[in-house]
Amino acid sequence: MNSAIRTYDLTKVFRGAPALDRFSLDVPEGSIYGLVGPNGAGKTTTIKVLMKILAPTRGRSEVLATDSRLLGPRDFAQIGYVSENQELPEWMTVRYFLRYLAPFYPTWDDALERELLRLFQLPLDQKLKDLSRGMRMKASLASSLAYRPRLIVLDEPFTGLDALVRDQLIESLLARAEGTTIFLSSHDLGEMESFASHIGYLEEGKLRISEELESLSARFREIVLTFDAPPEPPRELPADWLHLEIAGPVVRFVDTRYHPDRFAELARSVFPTYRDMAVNGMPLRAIFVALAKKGREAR
Amino acid sequence: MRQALWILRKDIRRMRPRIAVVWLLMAAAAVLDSAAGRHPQLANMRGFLLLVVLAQWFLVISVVHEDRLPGDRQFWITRPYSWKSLLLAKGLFVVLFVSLPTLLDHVLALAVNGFSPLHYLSALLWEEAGLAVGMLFVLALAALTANMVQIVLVALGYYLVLILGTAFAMRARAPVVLALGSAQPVETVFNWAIAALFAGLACRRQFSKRDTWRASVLFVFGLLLLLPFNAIVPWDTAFHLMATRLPAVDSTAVRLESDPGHKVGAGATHPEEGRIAIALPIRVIGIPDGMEVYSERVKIALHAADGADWNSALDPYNVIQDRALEPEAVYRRLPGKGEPYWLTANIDKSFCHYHGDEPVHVHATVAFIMLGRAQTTAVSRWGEPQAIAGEGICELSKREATVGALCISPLRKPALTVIRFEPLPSGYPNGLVSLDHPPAGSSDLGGFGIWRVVQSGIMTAPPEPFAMSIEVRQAVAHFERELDMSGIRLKEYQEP
Repeated sequence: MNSAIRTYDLTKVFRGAPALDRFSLDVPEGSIYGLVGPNGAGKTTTIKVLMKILAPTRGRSEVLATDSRLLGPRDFAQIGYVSENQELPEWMTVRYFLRYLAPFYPTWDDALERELLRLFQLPLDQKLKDLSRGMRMKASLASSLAYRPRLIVLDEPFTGLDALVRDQLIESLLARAEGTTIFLSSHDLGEMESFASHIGYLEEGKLRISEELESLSARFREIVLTFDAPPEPPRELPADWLHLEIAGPVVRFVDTRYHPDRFAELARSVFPTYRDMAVNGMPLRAIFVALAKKGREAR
Repeated sequence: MRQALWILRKDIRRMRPRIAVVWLLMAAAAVLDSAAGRHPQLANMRGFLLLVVLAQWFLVISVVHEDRLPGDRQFWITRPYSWKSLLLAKGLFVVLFVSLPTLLDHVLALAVNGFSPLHYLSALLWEEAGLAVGMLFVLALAALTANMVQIVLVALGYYLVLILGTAFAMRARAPVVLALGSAQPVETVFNWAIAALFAGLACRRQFSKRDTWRASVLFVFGLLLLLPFNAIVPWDTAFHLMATRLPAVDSTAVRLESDPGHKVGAGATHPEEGRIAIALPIRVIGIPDGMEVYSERVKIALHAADGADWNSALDPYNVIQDRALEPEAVYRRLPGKGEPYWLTANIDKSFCHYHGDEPVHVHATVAFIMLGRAQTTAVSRWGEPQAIAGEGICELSKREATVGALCISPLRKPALTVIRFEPLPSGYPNGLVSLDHPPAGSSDLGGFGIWRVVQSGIMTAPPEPFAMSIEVRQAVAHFERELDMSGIRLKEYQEP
């Protein structure tokens, strides 16, 4: 499969401190890629480098097969970028904003524009400066969807929005996801889980995980083993087991490489005396909390 | 181009109120410029012109800041803007709302006051070129900054450097460097070239790469080169360029001769410390009938028998003068009818101390401006402007025992403007009062507004009855002449 975005050892240093550290990423075309991570992890910096807003210190990145440092008008005509921090021309009305942008895009679709306006219920004659935060995001999104971009890049698009607006934006994105690659950053794992096909986990400028959400969810399990009496702590644990806790006759841990066919045998080899075993699926939030804890422990 | 026009349309929509204010001010300036023929004192409203210029700058800065270049949050930087279209849009805005209205104002002022705009076409184009360079500079400054506060800080910083640098230059090398005289147009064109080059490079870098740091380095480097005390073009080089630019009259017949028969005249020089003044009697011959020459700078080289040498630079304080002429403002004018003149030079005091009594060889190099034949207009009315020969308008006023004169001319001023009183009243040895004289009067580039103003101070009115006329002369040639004088005993020519 072709890549919509690829980075090779991407590094960005601000005053000696690395914001991105040899970051290599591959976003398949047509995927919905969610880049998650705590505040300050480097999500916005990644997007700014990809969008040619910042130059990388080392390494390189490709967006739609073009070196991001060389992105030009023809490339930007195929990219929709929306950021929570973007400064819009506040003096423009919603109508003028969209009419102003339309001639810049050869693929601008007036019918789609009307549909988006209807969907988002945007007040056409109101100035952008007078819109609520949610409405501004909608206006920005409408202006980035109306030309059917091949790649949509969203930087924390849902921050500060109420649940209703958030769902509306996600729905409109999903409705137009076919054939389009969506790359978005967020620190809200719940919303990401609902629609991302791929997930990348960024921590302190390093990409810890990057894979399909399905496989990620499939391999992370919370395991609860119950014993008749408190067990002896094992001398050695498999490397893929995290955060083992023994509380009386109950043992809990996270298996990061869970395999239903092999797990029972592996568990028995470590804990030969357990009586019951519960295998629980983990929400994305719990997976990343486990990973973050591991990172902290490692440091 | 379509994208540029689209951005321009957006900018016009956004800037409508500011455009209206600037156009209102420019319309007022146009009314004043057009009315100046009937009321020359209106051409003296420099404060208002400055306000118009500042308003134009504000408009240009605002329109560039509308699509701000520094920063990483502007919506347009991830839109399919072409940098060439963006730059073109801003350039077209400047042309539409600053350059063309200014041109229109000047053409209108010329036509209303009876001057043919076609006759002034090249001067108008030079004026527009200067304005374009200035606007490019403002555009670059706006492209490198994010808001007006930064602009003000840059302006204050530059002003500070200007004050400190000028004070330093005055102490170190002073007026020789600062007084560019008739070479000023060369310096002006050179400065325009520097401004256009560095502002252009900074604009290109900033618009194409949004690389504020490198673009600012280019801009600041250009700014430092433009500081007026730099004088990057040596004066004599500039003078030679002027000589190639203005050979309207053949000056080959003009020669210098020494004239040792004359006594040393009464001195009026004020040599600086470490110098003494000498006055060598000479004649300037071959000046075409009715014309005059004006000595702008003189270089003196002294060579003693024992091999000791000393030479001055081309010094504006060294002159050839006619001491019969007064006041001082016109004393360098040399009509060349065979009168004895004096080459007055400030020379090294210690050289004179050691070699003043022995014969030395003197080599003089004199930079001349030749002034064409006088165009004379008799002044017949007081308090009313009247057209004068030589393309200008003058108004003379008389109040009790004083006389005042104010002359304006479009885009370029005569090299010399003189008021002549006749018959000669006592106290006016030649009946002449100079309103303006070379070299200042020979500069016609880089002026401010359409009118060039020359104005007298208040003169004491001669006793009635007397007639007055105004004479103007244009510079028609720049050239240098050399003179060798042997066996000069400097102490014999020392100023009393």
